[in-house]
Amino acid sequence: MEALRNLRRRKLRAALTIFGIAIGIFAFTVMGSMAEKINQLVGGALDFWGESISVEPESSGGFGGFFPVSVTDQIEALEGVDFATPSAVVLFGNPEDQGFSFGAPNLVFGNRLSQAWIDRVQEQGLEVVEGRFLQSGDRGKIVVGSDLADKAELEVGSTARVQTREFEVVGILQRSLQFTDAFAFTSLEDTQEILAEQFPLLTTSDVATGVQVYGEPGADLDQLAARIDELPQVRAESPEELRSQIESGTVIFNLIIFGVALIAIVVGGLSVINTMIMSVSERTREIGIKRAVGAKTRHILAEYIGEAALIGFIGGLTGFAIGWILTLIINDQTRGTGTVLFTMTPRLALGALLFSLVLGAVAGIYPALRAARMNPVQALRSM
Amino acid sequence: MSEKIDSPADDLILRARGLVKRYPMGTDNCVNALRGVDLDLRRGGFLALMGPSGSGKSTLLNVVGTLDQPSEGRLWLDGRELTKEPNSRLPDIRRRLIGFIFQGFNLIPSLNALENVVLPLRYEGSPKSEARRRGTELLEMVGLGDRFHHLPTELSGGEQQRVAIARALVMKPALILADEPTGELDSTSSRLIMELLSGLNQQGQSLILVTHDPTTAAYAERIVRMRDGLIVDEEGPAEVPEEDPAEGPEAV
Repeated sequence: MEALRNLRRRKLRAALTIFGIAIGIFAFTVMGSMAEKINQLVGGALDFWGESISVEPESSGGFGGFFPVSVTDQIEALEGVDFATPSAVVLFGNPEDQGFSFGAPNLVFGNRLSQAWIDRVQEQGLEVVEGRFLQSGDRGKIVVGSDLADKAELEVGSTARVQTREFEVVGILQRSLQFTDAFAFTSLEDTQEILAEQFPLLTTSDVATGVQVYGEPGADLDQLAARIDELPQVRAESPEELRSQIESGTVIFNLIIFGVALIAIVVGGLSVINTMIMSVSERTREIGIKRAVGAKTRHILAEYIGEAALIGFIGGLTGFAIGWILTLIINDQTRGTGTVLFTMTPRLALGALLFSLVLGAVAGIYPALRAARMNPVQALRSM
Repeated sequence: MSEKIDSPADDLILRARGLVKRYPMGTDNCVNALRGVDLDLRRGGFLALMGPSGSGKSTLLNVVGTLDQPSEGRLWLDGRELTKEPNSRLPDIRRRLIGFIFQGFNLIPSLNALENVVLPLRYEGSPKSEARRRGTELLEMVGLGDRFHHLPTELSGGEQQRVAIARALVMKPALILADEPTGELDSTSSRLIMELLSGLNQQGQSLILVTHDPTTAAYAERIVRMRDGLIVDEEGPAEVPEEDPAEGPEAV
C-alpha cells in the first residue's frame, strides 16, 4: 500500500502526528466510556422510575424528610392510581463510612411488600440471579444488587449488616449495570425500625421517606402527578420532571465529551494538516511526475486525503486501544469496591474510530487541494 | 494558414501551427518562450530538438505533451486537435497518447520498478492482473526482468532510465517525448538507452527527443534547431557536425 510506504518514508514525523491523534482519541475513549456508563445509569433510572410517580415529603430536598404512611391511602384514593407503595430508605453502611464513591450510593429500600409491587418491579428489571426475590410478609430478609454484593462480600444465605440490624440475604439481583446494582431491597417495616433508631425524635415509627405511585393503564402520569401534588405535605415528581432532571445531569458529561472531541479535532487536525503540507512540498516533483503520466486531479486528491485518513485511523486505533485497555484495568481494580466507572459500547468504539478516520481525511483536504492544483511543469522542475 | 490545418494528413502523428507561449513577468511584461512554432512529425518519425538553453525546446515539449497550454496556435496529435480539448480531458489524453522520458528519470521513489511502470495503468483503472502482465513484459523487454521489486534507489542510473522507458511505453502511446534522456548517464548507458529508443522507433514508435548532445541527436532521422522560441534550422538524417554555430558556447 503506497500510503503506508509514504508514511514510513518519514517515520518520526508520521509517528509524532499519529501520537498526537492517539492522545486525542485516547481521551475521547476514556471520557466517552465514562459518559456511556453515566448514560446507562440514567437510562436505567428512567426505566426504573420513569413509569411511575415519585412522591416525597414536601420541602425536603432528597433524603431526610418523612411523612406518615397514611399518605399512601390518600394517594390511592385518587382517580387513575393503580396502586401506591410507601418506602423508607436508609443507607446500607454507617453514614460515617460512606466516604467518596463514584456512581450510586449504597441504599436500602424498605418497601411495602404488596404482590402488585413485587410483580411490577420484577417486570421492570429487578430479577434475581441467585436465590429468590422478596415475598409478602418477609421480615429480616434482604435482596442485594450485584455491585453491593461484590463490595460487601454477600451471597445467598449470608448475613448482611445494615447499620445496627442483621438481615438474611435471600437473593442476589442480576447485574443490570444501573443504579440498582448498588441497592438492596427489604421490607418497609425493617427500614422503619432503623429510621426510628436513627431519629429518636420521631413520634411514630409508621413513617415513609417516599411513595412510588403506579397509574392505571392509559392514565396520564403527568396530570396524575399534578393532582397528587395538590395533597398536603407531599411533593410529586412527574415522570416528565424526573426525565428532565436526570437528563440535565447528563448534559455536563456530554459537554465534557464534546470538549475532548473538540480538543482532539484542533490538536490532531492541525498536526495532520502540518504534516501533510510538508509531505506535499517535499513530494512536489513526485506530483509533477504523476501528472505527467496522466494522473487526474481526483487521483492526487484521493492519494493525499487517503494518506491523511490513514494517519488519523492509525492514531485513532492506537488511542482507542490504549484507552480501552486502561478502562478495563481500572474497572478491574475498582470492581472490588462495587464501583464500575467505564462502559465500552459498540457505538463508542465505532464512533472513536470513525471520528479519527474522518478527522484525518478532513484535515487532509487542504494539503491535498494544494497538491492537486500544482502546475505540472513547475512541479516537475522542483527538486 | 493553409486549409490543410483543419484536416491534418493521416500520415502525421503531430502537427503544430503558430504555437506561441508567453509567460507573464510582473504586471506589464512577459517572456515569449515560443514565438510561433510550426512543426510536423510523420507517423513513426524520430525528431531531435536541439538548441541552446532557453531556446524553447523544453517549453515546446511541455506544450506538445499537454503539460502546458500554448498562449496561441493550434496543435494536433494523432488526428485530434488538442488545443480544442477542455483542460479536464488533458490528463486522459496525456496518459493514453503520450509517453514521457525525463533527464532525471523521474521515478516515484516509494514505488518499485514494476509499480512505477504500471502507474499509468493504475490511473487508467486497468485490472491489476493485466497491469502486472504488461509491466512484466515491458521490464523484460528493457532487460530488467530480474529487477521488478527493486526500488529506484537500488537501481543504477541506466536501469532507472530503462524503467522510465518501460513506463512511457506501458499505454502504447502515439508519441514518446524524451527530454535529455541521456543527460545524467555515462556514455555506455547513454548508448544503451539510445539504442533502445532507436529500436522502438524502428518498430514504428514516433519519438521527439530534446538534447544538447550531437551524438544523441544523431540517432534521430531529423534534427530541428531552435533559438529564441523559433525553429531556425532543420536538417535531414544526421551527419552531426563537430561544432554547430547555432549551438552557442554553453551547449558544448
